[in-house]
Amino acid sequence: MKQHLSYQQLLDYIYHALTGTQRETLDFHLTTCPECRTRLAEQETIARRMRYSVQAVRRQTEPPWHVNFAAIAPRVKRSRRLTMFVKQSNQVLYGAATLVVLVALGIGLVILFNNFSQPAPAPQ
Amino acid sequence: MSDINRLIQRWQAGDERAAEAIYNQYRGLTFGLAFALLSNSADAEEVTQDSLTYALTNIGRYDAQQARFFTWLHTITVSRCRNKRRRRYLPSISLFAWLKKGRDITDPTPTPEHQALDGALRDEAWQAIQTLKPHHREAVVLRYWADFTYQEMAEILGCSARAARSRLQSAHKQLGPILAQNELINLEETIQ
Repeated sequence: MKQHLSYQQLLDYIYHALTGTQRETLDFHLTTCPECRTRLAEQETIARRMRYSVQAVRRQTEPPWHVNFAAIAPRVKRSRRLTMFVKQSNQVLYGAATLVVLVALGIGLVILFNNFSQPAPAPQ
Repeated sequence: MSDINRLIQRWQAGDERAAEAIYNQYRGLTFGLAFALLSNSADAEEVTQDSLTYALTNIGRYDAQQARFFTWLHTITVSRCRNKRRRRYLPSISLFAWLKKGRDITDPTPTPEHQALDGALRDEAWQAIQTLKPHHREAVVLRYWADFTYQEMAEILGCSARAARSRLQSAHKQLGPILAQNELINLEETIQ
């Protein structure tokens, strides 16, 4: 690779978003190109600072005491019970619907069987 | 099966103690993410409660085969943060709260607790991240928050992996000159 690495390639290298072969090619170029090594080091510094900053926020932020489960528990439990009720109601409804279909099918079969079993009227 | 998946199964079966355990496990993380995206602790509190309530009440919709719970919860939180940001310019108070307070709406200035948290982060890099456009900032926060891959970032942000990559690169490009310059100033100060 004779050309210098693009900005996108440098970032993909930092973010480990390259395939093994791509990384090997870039590694080879970096061993022979001091300019790209410098650019990579710059980008790594920027990425490190961003990571440090975001991780600091993650470490330092702690929710206040009043942000707790008790505050949302009634809503969560009510909603959960409602969901369970709807689920059970649906099961009952599906069961009833299946029963109705089976009964209708049975009646239909009986009527059909009766029609076939009756002798055809004799021609006059 | 992981601990969280076991807790989710118990909650799906109706065990209310499992819901509390899930809440306690993700409370800090959700608040932190909301704070990182909104930079306002009062808004972050609201988003935390709202996101966790949604996740717990809609646990039936969560599919462990499709995504990790962690990723799913981040998707909900990011979406709530976006809604919050949109509504930020339209201050509102619920009718119930208004009636409860006897029409004596308190001063909306932040409490000392909120001010302390909001002012705790004076890091230069953090200040620079806050100057980014919301969707660039989301990409930066998600990437460095939990080392999400482009694909995971795309799922959370609701865009393609290519777009997630592009947003992160734009943010990097924008912050580059500021952070590189500050780095030089810091080095000079250290030498002197």
